[in-house]
Amino acid sequence: MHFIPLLSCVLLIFQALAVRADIDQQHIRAPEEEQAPPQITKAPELIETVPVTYPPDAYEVGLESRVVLLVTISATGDVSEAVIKESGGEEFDRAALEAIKQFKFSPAEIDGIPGPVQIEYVQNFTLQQETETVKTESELIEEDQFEQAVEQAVGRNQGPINLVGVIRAQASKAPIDAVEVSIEIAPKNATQNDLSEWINSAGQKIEPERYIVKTDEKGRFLFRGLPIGTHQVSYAASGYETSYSLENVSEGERTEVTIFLKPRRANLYQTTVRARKAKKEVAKISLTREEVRKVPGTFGDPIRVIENLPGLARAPFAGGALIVRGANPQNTGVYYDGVFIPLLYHFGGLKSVINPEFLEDISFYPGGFGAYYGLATAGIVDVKSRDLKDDSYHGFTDISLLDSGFFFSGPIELKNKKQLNFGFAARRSYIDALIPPVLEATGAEGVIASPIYWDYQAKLQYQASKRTNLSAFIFGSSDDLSVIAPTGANEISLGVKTTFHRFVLKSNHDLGDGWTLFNQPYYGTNQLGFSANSNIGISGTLDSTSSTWGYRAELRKKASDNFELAYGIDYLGSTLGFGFSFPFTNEFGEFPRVFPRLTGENLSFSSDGIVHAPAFYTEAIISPAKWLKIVPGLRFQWIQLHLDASTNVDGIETPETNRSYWNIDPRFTVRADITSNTTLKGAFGIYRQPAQGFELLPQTGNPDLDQYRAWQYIMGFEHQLSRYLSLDVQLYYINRDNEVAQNNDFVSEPDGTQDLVNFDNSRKSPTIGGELLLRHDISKYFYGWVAYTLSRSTEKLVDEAAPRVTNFDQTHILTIVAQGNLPKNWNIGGRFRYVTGSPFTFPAGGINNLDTTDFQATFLPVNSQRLINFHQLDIRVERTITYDTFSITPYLDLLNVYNRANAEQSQNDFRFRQRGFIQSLPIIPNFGIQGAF
Amino acid sequence: MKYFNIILLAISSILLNGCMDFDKPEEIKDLRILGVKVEPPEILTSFTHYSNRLDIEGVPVLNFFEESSAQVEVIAFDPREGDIKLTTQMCPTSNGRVCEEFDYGDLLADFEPQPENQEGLEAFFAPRIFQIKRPVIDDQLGEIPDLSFELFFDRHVIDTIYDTTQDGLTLEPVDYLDVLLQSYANLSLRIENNTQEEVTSELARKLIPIAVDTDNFLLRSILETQLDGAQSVINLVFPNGQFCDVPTDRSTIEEGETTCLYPRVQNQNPQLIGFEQLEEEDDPREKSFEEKNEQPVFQAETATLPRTASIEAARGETIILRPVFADGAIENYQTFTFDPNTNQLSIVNRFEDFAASLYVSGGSPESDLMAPQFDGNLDFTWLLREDAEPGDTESLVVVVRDQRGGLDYGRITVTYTDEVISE
Repeated sequence: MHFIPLLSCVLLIFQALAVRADIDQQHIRAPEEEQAPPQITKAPELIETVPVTYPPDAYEVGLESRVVLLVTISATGDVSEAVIKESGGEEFDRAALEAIKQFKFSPAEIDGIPGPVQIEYVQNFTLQQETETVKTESELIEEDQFEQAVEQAVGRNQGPINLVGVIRAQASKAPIDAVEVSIEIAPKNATQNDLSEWINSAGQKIEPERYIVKTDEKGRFLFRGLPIGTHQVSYAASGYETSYSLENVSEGERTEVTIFLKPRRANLYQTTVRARKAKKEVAKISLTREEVRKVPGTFGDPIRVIENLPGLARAPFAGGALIVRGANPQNTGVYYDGVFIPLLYHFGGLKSVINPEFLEDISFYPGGFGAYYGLATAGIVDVKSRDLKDDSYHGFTDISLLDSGFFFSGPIELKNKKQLNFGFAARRSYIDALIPPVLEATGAEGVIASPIYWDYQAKLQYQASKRTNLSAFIFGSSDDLSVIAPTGANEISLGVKTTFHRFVLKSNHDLGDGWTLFNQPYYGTNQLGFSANSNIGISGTLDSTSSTWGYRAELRKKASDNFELAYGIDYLGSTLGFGFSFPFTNEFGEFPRVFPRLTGENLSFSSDGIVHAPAFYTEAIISPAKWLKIVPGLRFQWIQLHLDASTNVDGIETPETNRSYWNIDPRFTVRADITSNTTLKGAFGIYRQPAQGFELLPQTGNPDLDQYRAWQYIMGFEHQLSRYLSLDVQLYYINRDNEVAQNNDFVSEPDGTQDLVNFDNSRKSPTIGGELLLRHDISKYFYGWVAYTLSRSTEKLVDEAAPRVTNFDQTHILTIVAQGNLPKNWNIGGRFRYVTGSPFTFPAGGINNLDTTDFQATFLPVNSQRLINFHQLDIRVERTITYDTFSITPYLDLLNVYNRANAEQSQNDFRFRQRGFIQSLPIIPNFGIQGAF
Repeated sequence: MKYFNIILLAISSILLNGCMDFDKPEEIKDLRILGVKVEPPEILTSFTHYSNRLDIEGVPVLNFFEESSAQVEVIAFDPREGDIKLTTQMCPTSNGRVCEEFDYGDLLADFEPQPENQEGLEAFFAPRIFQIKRPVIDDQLGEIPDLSFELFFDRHVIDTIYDTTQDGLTLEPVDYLDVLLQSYANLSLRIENNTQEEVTSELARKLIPIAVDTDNFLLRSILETQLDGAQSVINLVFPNGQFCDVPTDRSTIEEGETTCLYPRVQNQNPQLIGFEQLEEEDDPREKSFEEKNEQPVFQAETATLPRTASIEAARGETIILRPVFADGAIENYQTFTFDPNTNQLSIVNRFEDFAASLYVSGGSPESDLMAPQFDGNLDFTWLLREDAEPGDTESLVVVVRDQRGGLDYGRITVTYTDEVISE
């Protein structure tokens, strides 16, 4: 609580009769011959105040009061006398009297002549929560604190308020503080020459009066006592173009203006200039929405910018597979507001499932993440949803060749004067309408492809108090791809559908004394389906449907600058629903066919179950010295898997399966600032992840599989080379020693039957590498980075003598991202990438199988060859046209500018003699337009 | 979600496939082996041969597997001149897909005792080399003639193919299945053409099926009365299965699952006797899949066009052809299906459904012959080139396969007329 004079109610009550009586009795000696009573022809007006001091003792105990005074105003406007009419208490009375005696009024006029009057003046003393300060702009303009703050600047501080205004940024409409508002009063009997100088009739130069004020944090300013007339007002602020206006001040009226200043381009990146040095983690990289929106080659999708960071290998085609430090994409966890989501991109990489405008920032951990995260052995991508706190409505729309979407947010005023913020966004593709002509043009006649994706987000955010923040967030995504392809007389249709929804509640509490708490329950559904059908009766389906729910909570205590401790719960539960039905090549004793006969029943089974995965973690941040920070953590993870007994179509029973795992994994990070701009750092951790569902199912996998496991060792340093330039170097070794591998051996079951092992944990897959990130933070004209990764990922199967490189091994990965701001609001950016070609296994030749009429490849050693090295330049050009209340930004994203024929996948002719490569995307222009208000 | 991207990648590959400018499988532009015709297409052996190997007490050692021979014809083309060299070799399938690294000497050393007829074994497994000089080619397809040889199968050859080179070896149940169902001898071929510009070669393989002659008079009694192990296998793999006599009229056998295991009848090659040229209304492209599937493979006593025929046609014309097979060419046979849901084998009666491959010197053949599950006739179309000159010739080779290793082939040669038909 604190005393807010601005909100004290000041009442000037003119009791006409009483005043007249006072005048009769005390001040006016009317001539005896005049019988008519004197008339107040002009009331006094408060023109100067001083802050009223809230009595300290009363303030401490939260005491409020009200004092009514009788104030006598002299003919000159001074307070000649003040007496208490209704006491509010001794301290309050004294404070009110001390202040009121320093007030200045405009003189009252009696019958047109200045004269003394007496008024009744009420001084309220109230205490109010600061967070409850929700008033309209016009109300605030009237309040003392604002006036006083403004008048502390060099300005005209006498007379009535007759010019008020608010200054906002163009398009975003965000209020701008510290704008220098300068008003120039035109001298009387003067004119302006060609140089805009004021001269009198004699041609002499006259300096006009100038008054300057600065806006407060809400962008407000005011002037009082301006002479009647038209005056030039200028508005100047750092980061914005200076603006001018002519304002007319009329007699007895208050002029109100709203000014929109155009941001200078460099300032658009204001939010991106943030401290890069991770405070706690060793390998975390954070990117904000504004920072990543304009990176070329991302289809305008900011989340895809993480592909340009060190530690991530290039995914084939435009795919968004997250290949983190050589690991399989499935080993990287993807979270949205801390909630696991099954996929990050539509159609494997086209666009992210999160509307860019609903993104606050992205945190990417290529490794060494803390105990907060689990169930992943490689990296973490955690996308934070937009923090909705604007006090005005905002919208955004993006129309491009691939899809269109919108975002809309705003405040809702509640009855309790508090603010509820909402935001929602949606997007849908229309590639399904564009693909047919493309297929026709490429000769794929008859093929019908219909890819459709959509996503949505809706969020409510409520600041319940200064220390409590609540939000409800619902989001979801769907990808639906169907392809119908004629093959001779047949018609084959394939369909893939992935849908998920999540509903998340979250509360953040500042419990005081360094304690904070957040709670986050959530619920969601997942659906994955694949189907293949032909018009000759062969069909297959694979579907997985599950509900998921969870709860996250973390209690954190910041005991001092040297010590902080956190305890957390991370519970994830999920049902399992898995169905499989596919044809089976099931004839023996028949000669190999051109095409195997598929008859009889499909191989069909289904499996249902439930998984509980509670985890408890603790993490401390210890700074034994100012230059040293140690972050030890422990994560206790327990996983309970239950699969129901099932009976297939032929009555064959599969018994129920119960499997549980538990482990305590240590995480450890240390950072040492050895100089003012150099930090050494290191991290170690053990990370685990259960096998995928189908790997554990009795019918298709091995329920006895152990978890994936990775031992991560990281060391490196950060060095601030200059004000803008920083260097981050990391070396790492990741030992993945429990990877799942296929095993086609048979084992004898207790009943004497032979059962296929399917999978075991015999694969070992270490990765060693180094990463460099040379980063130029945002300056007025430029920002960008150079990311380089040197790594080697190998794997060794138990029956192989020597390790071999994995499918994801890319020795050199170089990415250069640069963006520049040009005049006239033009912005141009480029991205260049150079990546070692991915390994592949190419046939050494083919053997003509004269029975089946196809050629069978004879392969060279697995992954013994590489695709040609990849390099590509992408450019993005855009220009933002800003109007007062909205802006539009047409852009051109030009992919593969010099049309490099990069190889994505090897291909061969039917005899394995001719070799070719499926090429990456050719030069592609992607036009679009974005609008924001 | 692990395979989500893989599925998408596969779909992408389907969409992107065909963008490469590769050689087309149906065009004969250089050295090609289109098939190997073996007559007879499968070798029948006596089950008593295996009873001898089993060395089971009470079972008479009746090693009376007679020698069997098979004539092998390699169907190869190369429209280019040059020196042709064909190397063929036999080996057990356990040696791998091809026989080039098969060492007959090592095999011989494994025999215990040493086989009596070593020359016969060597003759069977030793490489055969054919060399043909072709300075001039007057054939659009460049058919390579005289690539034939004979194979002799004796008991040691069969032993080798079953990889049971030692007497008295006890076969495991899984081996019974191999024996009972089917085994193969592996024939690998490497053909080269040394032209003036380059040496091209192709490596190919063909399996020659070796099946148990279940019609042998001793089989029944052995299985039913004496060979408990074999009977148990029968019971294990075919619940409720039994041995049945072959019906007098084999055509009465109905297709589908059965409990009867009939004596095996040796497979025959498809008997392609010629072609019928069809009219426009018979264009298979205009018929639905169901309509085409309802029309069986055409069998007749005679055909309008012989197996190797010449016709005239306009440039740009689409000719419609129907392969004609001899009456009875479609044989019934038995095979075994595995139900993955019950992990059990069943006996199934089937009729052969031929598959055909088309190869041309030019033009575009089109058929549904390669479609899976296609049981219908083999009508096809052949769109001839428009840019040919009158008097030029074009050839098409049809290679027909049954489902048990049988093969036959025919050829149509078209001479272009003055007429041009533009679509």
